[in-house]
Amino acid sequence: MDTPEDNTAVIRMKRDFDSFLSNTSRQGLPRFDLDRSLDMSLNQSSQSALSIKVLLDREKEGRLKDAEMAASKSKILQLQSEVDHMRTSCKRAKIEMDLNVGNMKGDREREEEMMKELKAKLKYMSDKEKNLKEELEACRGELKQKNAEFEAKMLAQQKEKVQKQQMLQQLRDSSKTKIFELQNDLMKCQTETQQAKVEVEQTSEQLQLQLKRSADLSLELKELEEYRNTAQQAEHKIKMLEQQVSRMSEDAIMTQAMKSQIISLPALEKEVRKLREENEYLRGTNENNLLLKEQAESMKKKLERLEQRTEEFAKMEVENTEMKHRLEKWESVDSDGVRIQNPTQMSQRIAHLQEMNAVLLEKQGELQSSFHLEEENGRCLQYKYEILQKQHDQDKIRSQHLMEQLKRFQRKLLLFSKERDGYKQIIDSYESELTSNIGSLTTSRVQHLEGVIDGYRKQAETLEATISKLTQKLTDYKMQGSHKDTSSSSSLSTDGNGVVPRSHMDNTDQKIILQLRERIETLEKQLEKTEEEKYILESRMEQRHLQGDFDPTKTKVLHFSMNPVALAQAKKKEIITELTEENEKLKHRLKLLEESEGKVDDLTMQVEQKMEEPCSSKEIDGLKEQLSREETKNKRLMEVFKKTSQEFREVCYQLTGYKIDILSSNQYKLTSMYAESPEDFFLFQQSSSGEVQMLGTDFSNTLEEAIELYLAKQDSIPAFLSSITLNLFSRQTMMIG
Amino acid sequence: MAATSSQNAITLKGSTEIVSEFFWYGINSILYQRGIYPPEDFTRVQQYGLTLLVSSDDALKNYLNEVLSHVKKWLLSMTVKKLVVVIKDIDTNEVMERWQFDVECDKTVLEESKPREKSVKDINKEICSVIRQITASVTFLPLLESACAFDLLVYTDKDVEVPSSWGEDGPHFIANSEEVRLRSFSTSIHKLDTMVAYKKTD
Repeated sequence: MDTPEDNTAVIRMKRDFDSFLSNTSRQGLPRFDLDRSLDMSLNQSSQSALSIKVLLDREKEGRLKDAEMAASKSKILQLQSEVDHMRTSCKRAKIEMDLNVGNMKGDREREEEMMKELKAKLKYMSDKEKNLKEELEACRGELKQKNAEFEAKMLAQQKEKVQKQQMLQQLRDSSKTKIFELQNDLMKCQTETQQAKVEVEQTSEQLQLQLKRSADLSLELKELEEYRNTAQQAEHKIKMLEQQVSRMSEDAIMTQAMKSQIISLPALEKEVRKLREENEYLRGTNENNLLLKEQAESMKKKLERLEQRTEEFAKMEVENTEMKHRLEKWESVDSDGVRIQNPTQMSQRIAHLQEMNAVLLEKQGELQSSFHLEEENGRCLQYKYEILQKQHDQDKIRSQHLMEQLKRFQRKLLLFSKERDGYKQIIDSYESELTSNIGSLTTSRVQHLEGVIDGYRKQAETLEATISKLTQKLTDYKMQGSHKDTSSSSSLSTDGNGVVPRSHMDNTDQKIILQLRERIETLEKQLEKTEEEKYILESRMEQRHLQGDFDPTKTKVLHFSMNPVALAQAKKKEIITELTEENEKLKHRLKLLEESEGKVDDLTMQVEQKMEEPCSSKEIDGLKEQLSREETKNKRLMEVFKKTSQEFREVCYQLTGYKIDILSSNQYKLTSMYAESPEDFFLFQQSSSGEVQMLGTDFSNTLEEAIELYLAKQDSIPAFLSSITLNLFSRQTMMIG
Repeated sequence: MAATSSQNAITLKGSTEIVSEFFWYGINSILYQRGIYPPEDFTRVQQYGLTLLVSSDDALKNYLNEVLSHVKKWLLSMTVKKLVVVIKDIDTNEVMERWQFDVECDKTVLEESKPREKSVKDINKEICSVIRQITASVTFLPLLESACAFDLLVYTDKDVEVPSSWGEDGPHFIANSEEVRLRSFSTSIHKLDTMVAYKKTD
């Protein structure tokens, strides 16, 4: 409850203070009055309505207000003191401010002065700069001058340099010459040194010679010493020899004594010779002895051999006697009683026997042929026999058949007889029971049946007869067969006894059988082969069939023309054509772009236009082809022309003696066949009017005479040329001559 | 009794139906197995106790129906000898595979003649094994690397009239081929031998 009042109080106080501050001198009180009057008016307005309590409250309030007033007055006082304080401070501040301002002004003045100084400085500086610029220009000018000077100097120096270089060159040259001189000197020195060396060598050789001589001398000295030695030795020897001589004299006495002994020596030698001879003789006898021994041995062997020979001889003699006996026997005994006395007879005999043999062989051949015939007969018989056997077999089968039939018939017969009996019995019974009428009927029936039976019987008999016949036949055949067997066997058995054909026939049969067997084998092999082939062919057929082969004569292959393969291929073709078209288009596009360097406005239009005239490119191709053809034609023509022109020129050269070359248009160079050098030629020029003029050459200048004669006077180039030709020709022949 | 007897009796017409149906499923299986058409074009169908894939491509279906309708006629007249599915490389036009169905007709049977006795169940069993073999043949046949298309060739008697929009053609042999014989089946009127020839790979 108090706070709002307090708040208001504070605010109010603040306001009061503010007002007080603002209106310190003039409107200090009236404000308070106003407030008071307000309070008063408030009090007055509420006075009438308020009760005592209110009066009490007012009193309280009044008191409170008084207190407040007192408080506020104290506050005011406080505030006034504060205000005073503030005023003082304010004044102080003002004073400080003034001081500051004064300071600031002073600063500013100083700065202005500074500014002025700086401006002055700047002016000064600019002046300086100007001066410097001027100086710089001056300097530049100087520099240029100096440069020029320097260049001049440089030139001068270069000149100097060149001079110096020249000098240097000269110096070098001089030095070179000096060097040459020095080198020459050196060479001389070297030669001198060499000479000196040679001299030295010579002297050294002399020295060596001298040395050799000295060596020789020393050698001679040595020899001398040796000689001295030898002399001494010789003296020594002489002494020795003297001693020997004395000894020899002693020996001579000895030799005389020995000589007597030596005289007896020849005799001794003779004895020795004799003994040697004896020795040799004995040796020879010894060798003879050995030889004799060997001879004895060989004689012994010979003797043995001779003994053997004698034995053999004895044997031979015995044999001889035997043989003689035999021969006698042989000669005496002969089958025909013919005495064979010599080999000719013997040979005759042998020939005779051979003839006999041949005759016998002939006989044998005849017999063999007959045997062959017999064999064939046998074969025929065997064949017949086989046929008969077959017949016999058939007959057997037939007879069996018939036998069976017979049996059947017999059975039937039995049945019929039984039936008949039955019927008879029935008939009897009927007869017994029924009247005679019926009986007659039955009897007639019976008779009829009996007749039938008789017929059957007859048939049976005939059948039996046939059977018997057949059996007989069979037995006959059998007999025949057996007979033949026996005959064949007998023939076989009697083979050795002259019935040769039979066995021969068997042999041939066997051969045939063998042949047939071989044939069968070969046929079987063939069959196997053919079967194999058949199998191979079948397998091949099968394979072909599997591969879908068919017989075009009987079948045909159909297919739906709009099949997927055809469709797919058509589609593919379409795609390819489309793609090629597109490709072409794009190529053209690219070309266009390349041509116009990517700056085309209506590219597609142009492309289409280009595409619409593909014939132009074709035309171009055609024209190109034509062109190339024409070119080749032209080339060929040119070649031909060249050839002919070459020939023509050659002929011209041969005929006129001048080679004509075209140097340039209307200029012709003529070179004679007999020209002495290749530079000897004439020059002619054809003018526009067709006149031919001669131009001067080095060669024509030497021929003024001819020119004068033929060209100046007679105006004939051919005459001139021919004269020149003649001239040159004569000169050449002269030279050759 | 009547129902069972009718199921076990095969008439010429019924046999033709069976064979042409077999052709339909067989050709579809080959086209699927050999990847001639994209596999997403095929839908599953239950037939012969197997789940077979049949093309849903209308153009292909029309083509097959067109061909098979003619084949049916020829089956009835017994003038067809072979039906061949030729698989060719589109780019090189080279024959890569030949699926050959040899048709052997019992020419004694006429359209009005008595039906033969053979149960449809047995026939379906046989057909089932043939189609199984066709499916299994993928294991030994070489992979078709290039884009291929197929053609149907019908071998007929020489005197058969060529229908319009049909044409005569060659047999489309494979130059260097290897052949494999597959199983066969018979309706007792038509006997079908299946075989495949394919280009030998080096």
